[in-house]
Amino acid sequence: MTTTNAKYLGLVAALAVAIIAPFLLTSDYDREILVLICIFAIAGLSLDIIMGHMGQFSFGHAAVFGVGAYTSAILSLRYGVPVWWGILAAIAVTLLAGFILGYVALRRTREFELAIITFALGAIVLSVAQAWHSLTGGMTGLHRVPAPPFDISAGGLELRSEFAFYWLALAVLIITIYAIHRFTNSRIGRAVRSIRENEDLASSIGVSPTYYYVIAFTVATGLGGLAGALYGHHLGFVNAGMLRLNIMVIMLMIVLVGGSGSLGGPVLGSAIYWLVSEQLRALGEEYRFLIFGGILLASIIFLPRGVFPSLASTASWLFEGTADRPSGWSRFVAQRSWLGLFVLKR
Amino acid sequence: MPILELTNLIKDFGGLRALDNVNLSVEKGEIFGLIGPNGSGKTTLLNVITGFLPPTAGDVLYKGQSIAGLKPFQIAKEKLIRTFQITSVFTNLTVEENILHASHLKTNSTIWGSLFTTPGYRREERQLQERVTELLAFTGLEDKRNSSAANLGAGEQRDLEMAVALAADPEMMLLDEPAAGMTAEEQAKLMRLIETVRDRGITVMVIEHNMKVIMGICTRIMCLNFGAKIAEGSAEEIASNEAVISAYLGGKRGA
Repeated sequence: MTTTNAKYLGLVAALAVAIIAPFLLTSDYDREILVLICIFAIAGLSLDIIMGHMGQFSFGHAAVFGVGAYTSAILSLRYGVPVWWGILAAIAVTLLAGFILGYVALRRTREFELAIITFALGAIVLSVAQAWHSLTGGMTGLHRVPAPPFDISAGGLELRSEFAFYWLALAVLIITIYAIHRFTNSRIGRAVRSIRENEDLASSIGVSPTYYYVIAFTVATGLGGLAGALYGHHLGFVNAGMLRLNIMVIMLMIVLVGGSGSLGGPVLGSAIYWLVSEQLRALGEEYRFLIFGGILLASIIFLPRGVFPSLASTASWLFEGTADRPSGWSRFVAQRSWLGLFVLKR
Repeated sequence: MPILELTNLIKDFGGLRALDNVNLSVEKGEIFGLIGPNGSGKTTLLNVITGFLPPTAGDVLYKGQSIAGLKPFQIAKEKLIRTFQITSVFTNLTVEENILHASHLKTNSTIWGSLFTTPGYRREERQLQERVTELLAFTGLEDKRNSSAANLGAGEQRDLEMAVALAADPEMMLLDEPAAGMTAEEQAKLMRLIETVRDRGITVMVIEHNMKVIMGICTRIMCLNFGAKIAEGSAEEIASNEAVISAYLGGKRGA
């Protein structure tokens, strides 16, 4: 079996799990977790455009997520705008915000300075959301945010709403993954990667660093806003807590534990986060974050590239043997599993 | 009309005059050599020409147009392409990917083209593959196509750097110490490569410490010392020039 075949097999398996899962889970509460996995996978993928593809960091991504949620919630709740248009408006607003921020910040700043600028902007958005009571509902936030109206009935098949939101989130996730995959092999994707790899060399072969970084940053924020809008409509409420750093930390964890710079990483990271989070629900917030801190630390020490890339390189090592030997922990695991026994015998 | 012309070019770093009133004209089709002791301003000159540093005064004319004050990527779009003193390739990418990424200026597919893999996009990708093959054959890296650039030897990385610069489709190339760290054999190969590049109609300006390379290929040579031009002429004229010899061997300044 070649690596490419293994890749397709993995993709088909993941898709099969995603399609079967809602039928196996009987309670609406469990299906809700599936929706959250999809939404945070989209958010993680959007943050990873900045982290993995651009090699930069934005602390303002939770704010972008929150702005998306607020925009769609405010429009649908206060102005009676249809939910679908609210979601589109959330994308538009966050695209615009991302463009302005990117254009201002990315002309001069990179890495650490960019992290600080985006951190400051995130703090401003939080203060505004708390203070502008008439628009955002202040600390209590907005409640009874309407869910998207699902009246999909095709070929006699009527979708019930708790299912329907999952299909919506899953569809958006799949489109996102496909779009980012194509983006990687596009002229823009290559330009962005060349800037990440060596900015001076990239400009000396005609790539404008500001132009392409602003494009990538804008796309990332628009996608983050979309995820935020879906989150607001899914939960049914929006409050300033979404703008706080804990959402940022969750997104960061999803990207780092799952694996930055890969498509599967944030998706797997999101699944790991929500499944572990559910197991720990009884423990209370403080202990949960303590345990997540431990998981993050362990993954940085043992799987510095993240879970998904380590799994992928272990898989290609197992199936083909020609790829680079996986290092450290993933090899340790491979050698001690039944698959590992097969490898050791060769 | 000269392809590149510098008029009274000055570059100050605070109180230090790094380039002192440099005048220069390079004709199309030349291999022009730029020499000078360490710290004489060679790389600064190259950085000013390619927009990495703004000139303090004076002008840079490329094909008759002023390019002073343009950004590096804008100058690259004019097909004036440089290399770097410290070998610069995309280290984490493969040899093939390096050239694909460096072909930015030769491609024009849109994001929609790649999203929906339109016929136009597929055609361009095929052309890019042919281009990679051609450039790898030209620089002698055919069998390294799928190697990571980080795993190439120092000489091979220099070859890849040339391939990357050529992928940007230059009319003029500025090479910053291309022979640094090369064996005698690799230097000979490099000299042939630079001459082949010139035969393709690409004007070359080369900064180099290695006199064998400089004297072997350059039609004209300029020598800088303390940021000022102290000599210009053919290889023989430079080799016997008193000012050049004393600059290199440490005679009195201006002797």
